[in-house]
Amino acid sequence: MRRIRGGMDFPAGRLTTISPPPPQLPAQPIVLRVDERPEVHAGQAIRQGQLLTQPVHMHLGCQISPVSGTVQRMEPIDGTDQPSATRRRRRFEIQIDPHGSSCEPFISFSPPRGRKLENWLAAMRQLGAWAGHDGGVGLLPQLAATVHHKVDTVILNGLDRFPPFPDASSLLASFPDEVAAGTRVIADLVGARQVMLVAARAARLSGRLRPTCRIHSVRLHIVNNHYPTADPTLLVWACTSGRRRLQPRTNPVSRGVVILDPWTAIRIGRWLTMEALDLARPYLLAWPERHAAMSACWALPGASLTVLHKRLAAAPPPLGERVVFGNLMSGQSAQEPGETAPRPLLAPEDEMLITYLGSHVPSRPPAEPCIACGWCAHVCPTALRPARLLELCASEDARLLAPYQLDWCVDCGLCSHVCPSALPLAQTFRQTMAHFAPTGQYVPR
Amino acid sequence: MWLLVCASLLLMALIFFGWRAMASIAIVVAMSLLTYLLSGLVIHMIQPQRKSDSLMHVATMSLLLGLCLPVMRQPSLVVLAGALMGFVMHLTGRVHRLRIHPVAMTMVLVWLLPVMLVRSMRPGESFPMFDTVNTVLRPDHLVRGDLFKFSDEISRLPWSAAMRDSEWDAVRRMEPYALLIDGQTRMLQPTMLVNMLASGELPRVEELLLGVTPGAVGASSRGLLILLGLYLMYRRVSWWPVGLSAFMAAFVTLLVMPVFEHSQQTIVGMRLAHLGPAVAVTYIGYMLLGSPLALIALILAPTTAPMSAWGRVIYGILIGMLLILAQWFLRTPQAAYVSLLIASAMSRPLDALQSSAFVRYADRKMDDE
Repeated sequence: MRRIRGGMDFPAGRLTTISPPPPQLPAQPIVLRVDERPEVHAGQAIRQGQLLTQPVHMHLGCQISPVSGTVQRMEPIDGTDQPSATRRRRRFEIQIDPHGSSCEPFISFSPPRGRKLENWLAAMRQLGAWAGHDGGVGLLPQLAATVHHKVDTVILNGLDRFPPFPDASSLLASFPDEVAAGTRVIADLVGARQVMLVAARAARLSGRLRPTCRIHSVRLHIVNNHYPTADPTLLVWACTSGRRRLQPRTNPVSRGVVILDPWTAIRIGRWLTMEALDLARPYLLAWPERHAAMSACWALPGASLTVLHKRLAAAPPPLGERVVFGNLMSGQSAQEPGETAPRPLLAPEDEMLITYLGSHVPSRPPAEPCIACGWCAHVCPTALRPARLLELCASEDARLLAPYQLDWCVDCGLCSHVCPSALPLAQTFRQTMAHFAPTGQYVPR
Repeated sequence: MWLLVCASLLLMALIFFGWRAMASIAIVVAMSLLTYLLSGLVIHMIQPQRKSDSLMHVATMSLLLGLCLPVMRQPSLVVLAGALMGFVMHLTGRVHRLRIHPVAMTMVLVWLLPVMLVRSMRPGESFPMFDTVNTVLRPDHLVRGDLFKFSDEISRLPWSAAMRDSEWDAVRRMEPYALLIDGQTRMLQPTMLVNMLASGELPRVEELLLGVTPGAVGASSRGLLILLGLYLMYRRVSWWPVGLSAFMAAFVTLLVMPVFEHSQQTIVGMRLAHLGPAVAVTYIGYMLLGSPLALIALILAPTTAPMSAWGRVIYGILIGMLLILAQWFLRTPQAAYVSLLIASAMSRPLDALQSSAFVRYADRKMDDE
């Protein structure tokens, strides 16, 4: 594997042992947000696994109810049921109150026999949403794309998004057999010749993975986790020795690669073993003030954030501002400052790494003029010129941005992290990309 | 970090040049800040939205300017340099898009251009404003001595031997850089360099490294400059490609400089080949160490260096090459700052040398489509 340019080495955290999900989870009200009009109504009694939405497109998974209960509430999120010219799609919120005091974190459903992609794709669609982080786009879009595009490589991305909080490595260390088995299944489905598992260099991880990878004919790569190699764009570049370049936020299948996240592979591996599909997901809570010691817990998507740990339940409001989903460098706060509607819920698309910032949310120092130190350009993994891009973003001229390819920004956050003038580089780029894309004025090349 | 660098150079200036050096530096800093603030007020009235640099940066740059200046008989140049620096900081430096080095610009405008003008209009005459005091404090009068209490005789003894005559606080010596510029072709004659070393006309290498030679009060100690340069590299404010490429470019450029000998033109490298390796190494060592290359490439250059990796290499090459060209053809010590001025003016275009392989790939794909 080739080492990416720029980037930064962070000290690796300690692995956390993740136990298998308990046979029963405490029942909690579930709130799901869906992109299609649901096929249920308020007051309706539903069973676990019942379809809530059934999208038309093949690359979108259906939404199913993770619990048996009653639909307490079903309403559009923005208060109106009518389509609007400014909204691309309607979103609905469904609240389900479960029956009983506990629920099963899995659904009994045998995996399809054989290795025919169409059968597996149909089954996966019917069994609910899969997390949308595999390769940056999700598992189902990738599998749907392989129907028309050939792939020759499957990569299991076992690198931690943020090395001090080794979420992926902890999963690999806790479920080594399942991850290799699940990776092999996907490789067989898409007909990939090369199957690789990329993992970070961590204590005893190689020893746990090597035997099972040998059994399932998965090539194991143990590498130093140079941040942000875990990003799909950089991972593809590194794994293919620089021959393939995947634009951020695009389907890796366009480059002949399928990228899996560890939990997706583990989920498939456990599906084969248990003949039941996990509905609960593992969440790893990181506490920066506790020197990167993480806590592992299981919860159903749609549950409240406070069920994960008693510290979260006891945390002073607003909880949303103190929680960051995903990578601490570029993750999303559950509630942006100034917002009145918190979202401390576990959505299916959320990453499993959650960082609790504690009682004191660090504030950013005031920005000063750029001193042209060049540190941002030095750490940028795609060799962009962040200082120059910031000037162009300030000019709000998208035509000037095109030559500099802001769409190659992988949103690693390193430019802001190293800037001695505390310039909001990554934040500005994210806002610019979000600002231009929906209106269509800035078309990525 | 910059405070540490400036404090170290200030300490060296205080030890070997005494309170007069401190006074000179203080005048530069005070005038710079005063004119910067006053001109800033005027600019703010005209352009309220214009960004201004921090006062700490202005103070640091003016401190560096003061450290680059020698002690003068008359303070007028010092006052003028400080005042001009205050104006220049609004036009150049890291905040402005031009990114021209303010110290280099000030030195060229205040010293080099007037000297060249006077020289062209009145050859052979010197202007009192530019008269430097080529003295350094005696070993037994360090820190507390008066730099202006010296005998007119130019000492050719080693600096440590100057302790014998304690009537004067300071000892007058030849400024190494001016001496090297004056004798850059003369030293290429057979046995000339050896004679200069034996007679004490040329200072010893250890004196250059320690800094007990006249010249810029804060930049006389080449050893300290190299150490501080390494420290700045360690702190990632400076980058080793700049220093290395500057020295390599200076070395190569020096070897190809033209020399006229018996009506025949040759180059320095060929002359050194005839003189032998010992003389060649000594000559090159003195020419590089005696020049302000270490000060410019290691201490001053990082402030306005380009942000791209290849740009920094070219920046260093420009500094080294232009410094040798300037000192060879302009034949005045202040000409060295022309190299920094021109190189820093190229910084912004050199930023564009940072090229993303991903962007190039996308461009190639678009062109194919």
